[in-house]
Amino acid sequence: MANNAAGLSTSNQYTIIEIPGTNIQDTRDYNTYIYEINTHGMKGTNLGEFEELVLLTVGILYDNAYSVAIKEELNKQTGRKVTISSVHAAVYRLEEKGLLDSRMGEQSERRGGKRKRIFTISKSGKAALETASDLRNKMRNQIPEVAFKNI
Amino acid sequence: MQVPPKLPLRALRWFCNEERLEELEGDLHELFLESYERNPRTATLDYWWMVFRSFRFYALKNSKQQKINSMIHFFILLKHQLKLIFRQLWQQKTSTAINIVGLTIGLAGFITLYSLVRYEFSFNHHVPDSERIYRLYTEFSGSFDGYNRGVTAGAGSFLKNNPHQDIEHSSQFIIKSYSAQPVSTKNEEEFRYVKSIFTDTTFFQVFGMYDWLAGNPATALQGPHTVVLTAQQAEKYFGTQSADQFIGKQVTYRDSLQATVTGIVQQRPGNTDFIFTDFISLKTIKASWVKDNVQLDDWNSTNSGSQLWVKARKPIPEGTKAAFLSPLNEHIAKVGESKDWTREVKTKPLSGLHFDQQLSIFDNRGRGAANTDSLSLLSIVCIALLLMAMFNFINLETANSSSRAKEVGVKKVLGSTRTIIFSKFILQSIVLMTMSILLALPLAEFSLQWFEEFFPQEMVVNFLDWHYLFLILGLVLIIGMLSGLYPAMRLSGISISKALKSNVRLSFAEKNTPAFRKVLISFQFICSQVLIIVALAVFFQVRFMLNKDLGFSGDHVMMISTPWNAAHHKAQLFHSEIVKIPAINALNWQDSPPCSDSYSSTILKYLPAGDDTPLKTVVYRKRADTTYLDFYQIKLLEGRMFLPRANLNEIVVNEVYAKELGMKNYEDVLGITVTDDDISYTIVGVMSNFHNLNLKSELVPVFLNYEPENIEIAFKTRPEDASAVIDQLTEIYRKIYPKNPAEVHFMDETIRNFYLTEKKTEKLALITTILAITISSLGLFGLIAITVLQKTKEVGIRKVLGAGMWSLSKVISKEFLILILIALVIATPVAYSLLESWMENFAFRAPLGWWIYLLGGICSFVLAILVIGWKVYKAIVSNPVDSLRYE
Repeated sequence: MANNAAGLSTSNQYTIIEIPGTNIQDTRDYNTYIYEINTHGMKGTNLGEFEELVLLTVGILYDNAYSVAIKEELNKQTGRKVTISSVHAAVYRLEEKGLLDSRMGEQSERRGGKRKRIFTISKSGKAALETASDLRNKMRNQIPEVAFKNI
Repeated sequence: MQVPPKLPLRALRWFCNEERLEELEGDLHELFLESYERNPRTATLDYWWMVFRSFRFYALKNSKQQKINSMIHFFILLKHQLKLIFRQLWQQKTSTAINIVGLTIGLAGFITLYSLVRYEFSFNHHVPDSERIYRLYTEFSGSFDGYNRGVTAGAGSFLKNNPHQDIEHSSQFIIKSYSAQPVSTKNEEEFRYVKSIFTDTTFFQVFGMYDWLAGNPATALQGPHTVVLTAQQAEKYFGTQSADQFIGKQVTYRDSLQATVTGIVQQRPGNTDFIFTDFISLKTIKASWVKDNVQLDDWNSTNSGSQLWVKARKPIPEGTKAAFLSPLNEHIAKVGESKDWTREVKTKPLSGLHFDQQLSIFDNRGRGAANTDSLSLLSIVCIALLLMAMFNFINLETANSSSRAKEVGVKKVLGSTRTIIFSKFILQSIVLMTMSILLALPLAEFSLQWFEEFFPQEMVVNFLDWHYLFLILGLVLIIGMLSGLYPAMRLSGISISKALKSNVRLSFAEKNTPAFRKVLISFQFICSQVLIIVALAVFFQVRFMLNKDLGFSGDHVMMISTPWNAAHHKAQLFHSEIVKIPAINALNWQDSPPCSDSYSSTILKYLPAGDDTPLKTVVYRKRADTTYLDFYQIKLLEGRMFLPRANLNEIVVNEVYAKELGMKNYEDVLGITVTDDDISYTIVGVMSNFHNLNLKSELVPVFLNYEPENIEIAFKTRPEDASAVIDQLTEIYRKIYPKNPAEVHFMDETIRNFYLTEKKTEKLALITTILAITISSLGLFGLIAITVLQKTKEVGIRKVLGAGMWSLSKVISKEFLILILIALVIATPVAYSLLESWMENFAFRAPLGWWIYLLGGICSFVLAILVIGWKVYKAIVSNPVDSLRYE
């Protein structure tokens, strides 16, 4: 049984599906939906490399992912020094694309009494990540051993 | 705990939109602290860098959605604020009413004035190349000084035949206003006094604001007996048709001058002084009887109807003489008869035409030139009124501080910033201003109608023109903000603690009004004072002029003119018919009454025995019958009246001339011969002085000589017979002169009409004074109310301690009365200089002395006491128990 992008197991025929947050109530809609995701992308679900890293970091920092933490984690994981504004840019763009959800967290004195915005991966975010990693793996697996023989 | 540097933080807060601001600020704060922990010295720089890098699209304000949002927020807030403002205005009815009335008056005056000034300055703008167009006029110097707006007729052809390189086009036209009778089957109507001129194509070359609707510009006025009409005039003559259909039609001028229509023009829209409607060709003059009246080759006389205009190639710099004038002036000096005076032709630019007081525009009958003096006077007055209203507003608002203070204090506690409170007060003054302007517009409309006599008749005011809308908007915003500025600043600057403490009466509920406010209210008093004094002076002067003895008796005198071109036997017939009317007491044929607007003058030369150089004097002439002196009860001091024989050339002179001739006794003047250029006159009598010209001029030398064929007849009746006599007279007149209307004038009226301008000035002064007094009284009233409020405690205490009524009233009103006194002191020299310059126009002045300034001051005092009286009385009389009850 294949797991499709929405995380539901399907068998062949009539499955009644209801995906919360969308208007999909029926296999036909669902197929169209997946078709559209896979061909057109949801307005650029083609994740940039940096965006993908940020998305992954948000996942790692589960429920604790706010901009400064993301920045530090990225630095820890990838060794790259990132400015806070590039993190901001990426994170807001991802939110606009619908791949991240956010909520306002608690205040702290360290932030001068301001609240923080905490991001979490949304359903479509998870889907995008999986699509991306599947794609990578698929293509990686197609490279014959021979190509790497003498490298 | 470290705090991030203020400046970049403020920058962040400035550019960042509301949604992202909190998280961004928090993130940067956290990072700043980390950076500080690592290396305190670079932390600030890091922070700057971070803020700088944050200037990105996600942070910025005004994405489309946000724009819409913030607009919506703005309007909701605005609506709310407006509600609050209206509520507050309604709660303070008196002070709101005072403000609105004052502002409305000031604004209405301003708008009215703006209309007038704009109108007068809008003339002749539609003339193309107007900066290169000049009028040639004549200046006389020598024993005869003066100006004439025309030039000698020969100059026109001189310029045409001797073209000068600086002249692009020159145009001569002769103004002759004829009656016109269009020849058509439809109407036989005669149009009297159309604005006709004789000219040729050059007119339209110099003045390019005419469009040709029909006819050929090059040939239309080439031949004699041709005329070009304006489209409107053609329609009046022949009815509405297309322009081409007018060509070929005939018009008869002055019963005997035929002309064929060869062209139709239309002047481009715009206010214009060029009101001519019929352009008859110059060639017609030589080809018809007109040549007896107008000699185009004459170099000796200068007639104001003989106009010469030039379009130069380049504008003539101010102060320099045009080069093309020299050959012309040389020719005049050569060819013209030498006289005792010299002529010089000069130029004036077209731009000054409408305001030319010296030369006037084109003729005496039409619209006179606008007077820049009175325009500037009006401007000053209107601006003063507006300022007074604004000052009222400022005073009342600031004086009300104490009641507003609590409100402001509470607002500040609840988190309002000073800017917000400031803008709220500014908004309030703008609202007040808008309300006032809405009332001021109809008021201005009314004043334009009521005071029609001050404004040129043809002025049309349409408040929907876009420049008015701009004006209104500008007034509301600018004046609203200006007048609201000071109160808003003071009120928003109130410190919270002072405002909310219950027992402190606030620094600005001061015992005495602060200096700034005193200055404002003094300004109002000074303006009113000056105006009161000026109005009184004008009033007295006008009365004086109307009542002064003019040296002759004009009571019950009426005059009627017979047509000047009628045969003399008709006048004799008229005379014989009138004599039959018993109610007429006395009759006198004359060419003009003793005191008149029109006059003729000549230069008389007297050669004393044994002298070479003759004494030349300008003497005014009156042609009269032997009954003249008796009719007007002018005394004959020496000698006798002249005999009714024209060939004797006997004259009677007045005292002024007799003195001029240098004789000690008037008797010595008798028998002397004086000459003008052609005739020798013998003086046979000396009459007492009378005012030949109106009282604005000095007494002048006058002589009377015999003229049997005068056209105007003056007669006296008893007042009760007057209307009956007029009826009989009119009947006789109509029988003898059927075509002419009979117009009877009363001498008294004629004399009064000399001073029409002055009467207008009187009325204007009266109105402005009333307005100024109203505005200052309003201001005073408002301030007194507040002062009374502030001083209730003081008055109560003093009363308890036994003060009398008098000293109590002093307490409240002292500062204002002192201000009035100071205003009087300052106003006196101002009024004095104004009056001096106005009185210069009059050779005969009313006897005004220091007492008029005192009178003005007394008026002000009385007025002030009236205004504050009631309130002060109430305050004094109130029970101290009430005022001292609450502490």
